[in-house]
Amino acid sequence: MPDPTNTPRKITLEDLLRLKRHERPGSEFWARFDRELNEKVWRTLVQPPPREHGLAAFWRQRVRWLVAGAASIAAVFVSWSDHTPSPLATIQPTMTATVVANVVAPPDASVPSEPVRIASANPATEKVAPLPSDAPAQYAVSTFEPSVNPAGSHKVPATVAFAAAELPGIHFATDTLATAVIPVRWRETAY
Amino acid sequence: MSRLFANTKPLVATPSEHAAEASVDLALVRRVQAGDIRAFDLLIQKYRERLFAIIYNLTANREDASDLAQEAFIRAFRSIGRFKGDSSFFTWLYRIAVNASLTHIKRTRMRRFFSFENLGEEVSQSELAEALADKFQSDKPTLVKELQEKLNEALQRLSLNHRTVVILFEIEGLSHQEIAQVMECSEGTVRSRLHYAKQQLQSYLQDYLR
Repeated sequence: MPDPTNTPRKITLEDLLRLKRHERPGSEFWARFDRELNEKVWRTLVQPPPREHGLAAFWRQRVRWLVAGAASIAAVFVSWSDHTPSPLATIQPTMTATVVANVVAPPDASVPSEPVRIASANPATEKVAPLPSDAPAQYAVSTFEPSVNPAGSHKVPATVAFAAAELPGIHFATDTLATAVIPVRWRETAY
Repeated sequence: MSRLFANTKPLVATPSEHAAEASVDLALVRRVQAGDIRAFDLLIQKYRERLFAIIYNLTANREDASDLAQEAFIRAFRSIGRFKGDSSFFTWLYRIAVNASLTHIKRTRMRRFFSFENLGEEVSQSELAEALADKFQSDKPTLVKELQEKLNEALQRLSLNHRTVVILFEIEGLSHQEIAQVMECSEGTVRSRLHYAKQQLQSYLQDYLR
């Protein structure tokens, strides 16, 4: 009678494949591996990465160019618009018009008839009187002390009188200037 | 399933072990991303043997496997800043290694040389060797060596995708889901490739199976 304990074990494919888990290099191999890899990692730190290849890399490069181009165009546009008065831009104290004291100019047909109303940036410190609705377009503005300047007052020397239309940023529509921050103190002049 | 290697522990980890390992790896990755290169050394030490084994089984050449494993680590190091943690670090690393290996194999298809690692001493003493010796009435070391060559030849006859799936599942012990992440395919594809690959290997190795 055959002994059941002597039945040979069935060898499966999984058993054979697991044989491969025992294929291992020795310690000398790993010492060399670590040394070579260490050198390559340090070389990577000092060298630039290789050029990318493939379709994805192609499109990544194109997108980078597009973004760079758009950024350049935006930079040009911003610098251009900095020099071009904008009704919605915040006008910095250094860019505001030079002012005139007590200069009276004759009415000029070229000047817009709609008066410009300027609001003070700090109503608590600036005394601003609203313009009468029938006030002439031309007027004189006194020297001002911008209250938004954190470093202290910034005085702009008086220069020459000129029409309101020539004042940068000020000759635009009154509605838009209602939102502009122009720390300015003005007074009506007599005609 | 018979276990002819008494000391071979199952490689498949439990989900909680996986999660713990993944969080340890992620912490190391964050350290590398913050500039701590020594953390990358720790990752290398942890995964170098597994990575080498996968690539070796794909290429059947230990020199190529050594170079490709190093290349995989370098690529991982270069792009570790882009690793977001959507997948576990080791599936991400394995994907890099498998892709590098497949590219290499396709490029060098016409001039491939096999060189095999030595089998551990425990194989000759294993029940598998005993069983084979009984079957073929031959000495164990010779049989084991012959089996190693036949096994590698059989794997090389499979297509790259089928070979990869068998290696990752049967030898490395990855789950179907992990293999799908590494190979960037569905789990269904992994299962069907595995089924087909094992059928092919059964026919190639039928002399050694009973």
